[in-house]
Amino acid sequence: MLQTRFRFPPRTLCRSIGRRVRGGAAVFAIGGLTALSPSRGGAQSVALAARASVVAPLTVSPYWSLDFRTVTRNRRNTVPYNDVWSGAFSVSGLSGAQVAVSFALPTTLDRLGGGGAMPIGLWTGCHSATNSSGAGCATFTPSATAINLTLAGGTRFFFVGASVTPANSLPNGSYVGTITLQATYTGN
Amino acid sequence: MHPFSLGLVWRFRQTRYCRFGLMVAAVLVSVRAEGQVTGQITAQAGLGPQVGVTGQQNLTWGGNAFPGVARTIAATDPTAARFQLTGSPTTAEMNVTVNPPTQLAGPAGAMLTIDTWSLCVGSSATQSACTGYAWGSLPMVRQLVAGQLFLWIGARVAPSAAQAAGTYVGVLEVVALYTGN
Amino acid sequence: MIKKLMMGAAVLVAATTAQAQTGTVNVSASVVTPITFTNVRDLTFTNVFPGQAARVVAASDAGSGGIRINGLTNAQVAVSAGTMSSTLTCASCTGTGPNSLTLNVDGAARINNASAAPTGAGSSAFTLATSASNTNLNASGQLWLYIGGSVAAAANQQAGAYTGSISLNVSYTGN
Repeated sequence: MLQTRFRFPPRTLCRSIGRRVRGGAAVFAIGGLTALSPSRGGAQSVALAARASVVAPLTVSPYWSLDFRTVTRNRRNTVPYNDVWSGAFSVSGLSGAQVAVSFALPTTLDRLGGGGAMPIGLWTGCHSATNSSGAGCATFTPSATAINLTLAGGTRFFFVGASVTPANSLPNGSYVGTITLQATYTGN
Repeated sequence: MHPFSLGLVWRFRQTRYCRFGLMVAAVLVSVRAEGQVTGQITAQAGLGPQVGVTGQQNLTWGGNAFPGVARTIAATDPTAARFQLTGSPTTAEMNVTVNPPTQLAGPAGAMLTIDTWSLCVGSSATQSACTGYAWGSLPMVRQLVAGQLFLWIGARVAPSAAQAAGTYVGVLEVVALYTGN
Repeated sequence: MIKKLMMGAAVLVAATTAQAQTGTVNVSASVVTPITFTNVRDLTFTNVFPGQAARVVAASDAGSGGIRINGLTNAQVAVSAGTMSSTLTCASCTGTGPNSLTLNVDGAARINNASAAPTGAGSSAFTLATSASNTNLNASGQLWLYIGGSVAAAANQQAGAYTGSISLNVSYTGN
């Protein structure tokens, strides 16, 4: 912003000029200055810094398959979640982050080569910070409904058990199915 | 030249249907657009007869192997690996897979390549009566004979001229799965 | 006759002197202090999870960006953003996914003419946009401005530290 002030010549000088030019025209130089409006184009610019830290995605790794070994017809054959033959996964991600974990579970184990389906259900499970399903492993029921838990130390192990009930009419053979663990950061 | 010894330790699947999941279940990890990550394991169960696999003899190179000198043990050689399959019924059909190592581990992280595998199959413990089976055709589907089957397995090692001296070991795995037939 | 000639000559001389007269004035301008900026804090998004909904930081949150505008006592200033979105990039990330993030600036900013805080005494809402909004510096020639925004990381976003900036423009209005 500029301000301009102008100052007229002293009064004594004016009078002397007037005497000398008696009969002629007095000429004064008068500046036609006005206060300049401030320059609208004179903006100051600054860059405000911004930072974001993106965490690595979760990883889900298979650990052990769920193995019923040889089962008996017409009865419930169970592998508990804390059995040596239970299935297991590990989930790794940002230490201390909350994750939502759910499962896509088969309803039958299907015979290799076709010809039979063995119902599977009564899912049981536990999760732990260590690869042991013993004491300290927190029990839960595996299902499509997510459970929220904290990745203390950055890794969590999940152990899964179930029961199969082969009908009397099922043919001999190997029966298999797939268990899927789904994990997502909740953002907390 | 520095000689070194080799040993190939067998590992057998005593369970009827083995840790089938570890062999077959793909390490399947996928990431969906919404940020969900998934992983899969297999659930398996077996109905019917039982099958057993027993490793009975290690695969060794009978003495020393020398740097710069490749050496092959044929499936018909006396120091080939031997496995016995047993089960019921006596003519149960088996699906047999072999999981060989690609390298043997030696001293201080040294690795020795092992390749050119061979297989010979017989119905008795008499090795000279076995019949060769093309390795590239595995897995093998074969019926037990009188409730048993024998497998002999050979391979080749090719130590480099600078191969470190010492003992190199690995694990050879045979998995037998009853097909239900 | 000679008298008449002398009078005429005198007049002629007087006329010449009048044409040579000039006057001068002084010109001076007083320029007030220019606008400057003092950084208060960066706009910060911590633990952005890939594949999740956008992470939002409000101007009133602890992670909002802050800047102090310095200038003439009580002067009115016009404040605007260069653009309302910018790109954050990661120089050291590795992987196959994207390594840039879009930062969307929140127009709901906060100002404070009393102290360095987006909320509390002296604070008020302020609309930040590419067109300027006016406000006043305080009696010490200062004003604090706080800005929020949002970022969203793709499911396969490369993990690591992303940086960038928001461009702000501030000018005196003359009032």
